[in-house]
Amino acid sequence: MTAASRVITGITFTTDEAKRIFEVEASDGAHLLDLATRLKAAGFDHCLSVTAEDLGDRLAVLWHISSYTNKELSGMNAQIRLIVSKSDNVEVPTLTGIWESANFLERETYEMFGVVFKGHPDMRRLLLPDDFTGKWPMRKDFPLKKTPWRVQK
Amino acid sequence: MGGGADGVAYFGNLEKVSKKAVSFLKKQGYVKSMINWGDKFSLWPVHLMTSCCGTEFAAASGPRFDLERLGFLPFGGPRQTNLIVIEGTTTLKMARSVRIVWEQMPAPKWVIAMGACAMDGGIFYDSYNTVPARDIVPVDIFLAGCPPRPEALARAVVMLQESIVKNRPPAADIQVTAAPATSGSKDVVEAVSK
Amino acid sequence: MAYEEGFSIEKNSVEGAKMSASQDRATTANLTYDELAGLKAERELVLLIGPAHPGSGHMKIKVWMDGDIIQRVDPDIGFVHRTTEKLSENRLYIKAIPIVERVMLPDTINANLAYVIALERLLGIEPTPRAQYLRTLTSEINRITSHLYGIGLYGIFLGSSTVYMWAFADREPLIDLLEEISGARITYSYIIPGGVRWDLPAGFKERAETVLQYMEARLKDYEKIWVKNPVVMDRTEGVGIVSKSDAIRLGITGPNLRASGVDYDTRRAKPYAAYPNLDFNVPTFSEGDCYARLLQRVEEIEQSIRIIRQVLKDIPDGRIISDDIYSKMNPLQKRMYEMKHRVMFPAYMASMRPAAGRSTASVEAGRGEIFFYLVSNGDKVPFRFRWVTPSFLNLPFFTHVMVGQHLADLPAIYGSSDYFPPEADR
Repeated sequence: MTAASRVITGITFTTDEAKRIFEVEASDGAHLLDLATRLKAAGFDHCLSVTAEDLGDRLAVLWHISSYTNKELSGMNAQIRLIVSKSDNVEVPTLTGIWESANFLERETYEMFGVVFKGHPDMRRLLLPDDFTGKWPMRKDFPLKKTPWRVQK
Repeated sequence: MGGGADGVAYFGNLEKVSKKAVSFLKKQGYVKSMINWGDKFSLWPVHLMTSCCGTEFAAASGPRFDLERLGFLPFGGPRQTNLIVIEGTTTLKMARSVRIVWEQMPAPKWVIAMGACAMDGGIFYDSYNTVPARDIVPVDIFLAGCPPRPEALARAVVMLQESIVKNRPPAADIQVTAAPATSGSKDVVEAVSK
Repeated sequence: MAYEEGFSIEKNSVEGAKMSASQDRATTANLTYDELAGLKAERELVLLIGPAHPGSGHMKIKVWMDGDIIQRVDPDIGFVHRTTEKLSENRLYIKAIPIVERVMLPDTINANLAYVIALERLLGIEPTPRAQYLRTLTSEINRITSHLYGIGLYGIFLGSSTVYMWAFADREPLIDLLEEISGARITYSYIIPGGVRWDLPAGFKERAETVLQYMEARLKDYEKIWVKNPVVMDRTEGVGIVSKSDAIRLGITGPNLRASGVDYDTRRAKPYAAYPNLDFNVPTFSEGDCYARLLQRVEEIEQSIRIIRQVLKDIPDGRIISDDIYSKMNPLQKRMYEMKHRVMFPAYMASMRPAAGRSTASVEAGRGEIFFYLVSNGDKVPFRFRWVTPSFLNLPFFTHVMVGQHLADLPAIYGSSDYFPPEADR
């Protein structure tokens, strides 16, 4: 990514305009909450997506936010990125207190990546069946069902 | 048949006689063919949209293709129906529901597996969360396509009607399936013919 | 008239409910604690709806009720969760197109478009102007079919089979138009990186104009029999109100958001395809109830018709595939393109490896905003493939909007949100 940066609402974003990437990195949980509060105050009023990336020994947790009301910000899909070390249950603070729309998105990220959002009101499985035995399917070490069914028979 | 002094008519062992009468009538081709004729034009599918083929199922019930002219009338409750159209992918979570709905239906009952996903996984063949239809319920007709066009669904219904008229037993009568595959295990169908 | 006088139920049912509640309190004042607890247990109910129910696809809804007032709703989704993100991270880039289409079956062009825009941003390819207009054209036709699908299913939810039959019949001419362009009935796979796969067939504009005129005439009929129908108005007006601030706070998207008075449309806010060159309104309603959401869809169909007319008038000539892709075709494919205006896939499509980087894309689909986030690490499969569908963002309709409403209004609210489970579960 080309390393351009732009100051939007007092916060420095790493940007790539052609690829519509506006990123701000949070160093730790406290910084994340502080950033999120400031972004909310600046006009980012809803959360579009919460997800994570499996970077091998670390996980990058991402919140994509945008604005419905602020015409200048509504063209951006801004993202907040927090990198944490990977373990069985990664803990990061929840942003549901700031953006309520992150509720279901954080639940999905929990079941797919094993990221526990501390302080989330309802941290349960969402999409997978209750007796699903595998762990954290979206991590890179989770296997796909490689063989087609016809081979098994 | 004789009349008693107290005015009561005696039929002998009613249960035995009626069973004999039924088995006699069933051997007569015309009764069976009449039952088949009735089944043929009252294939009522249960309203069970397992996946995206459901949109084509809905279009097939709509006015352009109008499958109701074949007696194909979608119904809400499984107790009134005798056909399941498994519309596309069935996930692990849904497999149990499909099985429960199938078990609630009165016999004779038929199953159409609609779409490539219901046949063999289709485009989602290597997903860890999908189950092919034949591992859940015994399937009568496999219908290819992704999604099949409504005309294809009509063709499947007609084929099913033909098989009913030809007195072929439903797959439910000749196959015993394992319980639906749960998340850990991948049960394989045991096809046991009678 | 005698009928009305003899009837004692208040017109305003809320007042009636309050009165009966206060009467309950008066009669229960002398009861002991145990008796009260028993009464309360009698009033409180947990109702499990689904997963097989005669609505759109399936989901399980767990409803806690006090009497018939909904206290809490827990949507249990994932019955159509086909792990598209995981699968796409193990497929070639081009093979993810059918996967995203299968998820949003009433609205495949928009899903396809959103993914391809994200991919083009990764690749650094710009489609030709004609391709941009063709994308807009198909996207708008698909939006109308998607809204008609929603209207038809809303008819089922409110117990009107007539509207279901009408809407599904009126979808067909539009589907035929798309079939004429792309060759498929529902899953078009029409949009590819760099452009589109087929050019407009001869005589398309006239046929499209016929269909549009038919659709306009039909909208007037819908007005009479569905939109202005007193039964429909009684069941939807003032039911399931979402205020403007709530809609923003809960992150509701698409027509449902605009029906609550928020003037936000992805086509305006995050422009893509040919939308910056076109003139269209973004209709909004301030009421935010089920009726407003119903009207919103009808208004959007009218706007889509307007956009399609403009596209057919203004569409520029030229190639339908960008020079980047055209130059990678072999001579046979080039000749095929010149003869039939049809793009055969160059080998590049199967072997493309975008440079390492990330991109996002937002597209306004029939039900709202699709969001894509793609990460490439230079490999032939995406490193991270993330997408959020509008129905998933509309889930707060269950947890927030239904609370405090009568149980009988649950189908009305569910149907008005145009929630499509396969789309939400991905």
